[in-house]
Amino acid sequence: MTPAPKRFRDLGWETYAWLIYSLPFLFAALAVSFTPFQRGVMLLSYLLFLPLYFGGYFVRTPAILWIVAAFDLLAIINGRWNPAAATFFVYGSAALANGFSTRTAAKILVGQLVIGGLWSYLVSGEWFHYMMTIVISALIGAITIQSRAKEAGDAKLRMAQEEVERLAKLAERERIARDMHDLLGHTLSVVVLKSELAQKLMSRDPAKALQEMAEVERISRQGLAEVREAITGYRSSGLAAEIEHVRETLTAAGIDTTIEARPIALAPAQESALTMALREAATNVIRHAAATKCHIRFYAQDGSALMEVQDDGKGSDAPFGNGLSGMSERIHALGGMLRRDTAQGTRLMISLPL
Amino acid sequence: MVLGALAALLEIESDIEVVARAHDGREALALAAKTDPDVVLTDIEMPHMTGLEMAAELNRTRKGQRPRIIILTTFARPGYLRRALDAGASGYLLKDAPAEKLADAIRGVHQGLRVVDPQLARDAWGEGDPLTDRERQVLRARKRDCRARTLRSG
Repeated sequence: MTPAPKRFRDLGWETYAWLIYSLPFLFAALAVSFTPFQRGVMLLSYLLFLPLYFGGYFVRTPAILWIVAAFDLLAIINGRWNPAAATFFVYGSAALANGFSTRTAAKILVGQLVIGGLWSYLVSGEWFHYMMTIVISALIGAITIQSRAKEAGDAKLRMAQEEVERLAKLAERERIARDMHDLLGHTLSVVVLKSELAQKLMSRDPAKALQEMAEVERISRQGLAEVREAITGYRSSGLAAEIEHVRETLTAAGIDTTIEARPIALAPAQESALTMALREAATNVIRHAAATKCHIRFYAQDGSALMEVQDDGKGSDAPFGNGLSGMSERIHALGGMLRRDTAQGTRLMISLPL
Repeated sequence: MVLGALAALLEIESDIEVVARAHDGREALALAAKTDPDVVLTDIEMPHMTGLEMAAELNRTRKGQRPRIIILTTFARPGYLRRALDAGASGYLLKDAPAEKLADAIRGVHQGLRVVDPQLARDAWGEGDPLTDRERQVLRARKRDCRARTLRSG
């Protein structure tokens, strides 16, 4: 069930448009020659119909059943004189959707159709008349029930998506907290203890003190590098974004680029390592390769995720520069492999265990 | 590395001797049984068996009050202080506390005192139940109503 609208302003223009179907009844009441009593009843009924109709939008279970019953009553009372009163049955059927879950509404609709059909038959034995009432009531009723169900479904989906986003944000925060705990907490603890130790050893064992301080330097530097990497990981918007970025950059540099990427499930550390590796590889292609074509492939094979960057430029057997060796270290740290093949142009192959 | 530095720092104290070093809770239990220390200093996050689990196990199997247990931590997680005390720990301190404080704590718990870092105690004190009794009642009632409504409209 969707929640009821709160104010008149919340009703859409269609609410007023649907009133059109009540006009034949009104016109008949005014134009056709009825006795004053009959005309009076009809006009009164119409005056009652209006608040019932609008009320139906704001009311939910179980009060909506009263409104449906009231509609039916109006139809039955006026139907003897003014066949257009059948329209009230249809309004009743439409109002059902507001009040109940799809299944219950459908059941009540069937009941409504029985009442409507029976009434039409009694009022005028014509099969045409009661068939029309039944068919139109069924149609309108079904349409409104279905559209309410869709609205409810959409609302649920939206809530589910919001929940997923919220949980994803929470997970990210958890991950950052965990990284700070693991990287900074440990590193700084060691630095504190070792520098405290070095100070104490300064007078009695200066050689050991020196050794401890050298350790402090090494550990601090390593810690800084790890934090730097973690921050790059947080900042990067993911492998998919990097792929598009690289595609644009290479194309802008006049290199004919083709990229073949299958979606592969990667751990965050692996994804950020590949993202940085891709960026580094693309930079190298632009700066050093003098290539005209570049082909990039991402695929999974034999339990590994693989990335290949192949260009047709002048391959170079020069030893790994800073970027490439940093990339290689990161990949190895994750248990992966990096290989460069310079037989035809340059082919960089990186694999990570899945 | 923390282990080595801590041990080295404590050894400097003349009245403290480090009799064993372990890298995880299981190893610690084994070595404690063998070397019968007066005080056990332990981290919380360790492979194979956490410090809290090890403390609880020691608490269960030891005779009398020995060894006393001091739990060291880098960051105080909510609930750890409670669990540490429940596991029979006599001390709860920061890993990077100055060596003198650590040494004093060791001497203190050896004499039967309880030593908890004031900051950690303050943080843990603030960790009350996030819900009031009334809030809990309301949540339970809401849960009941939701279930009832599902039954009714289905």
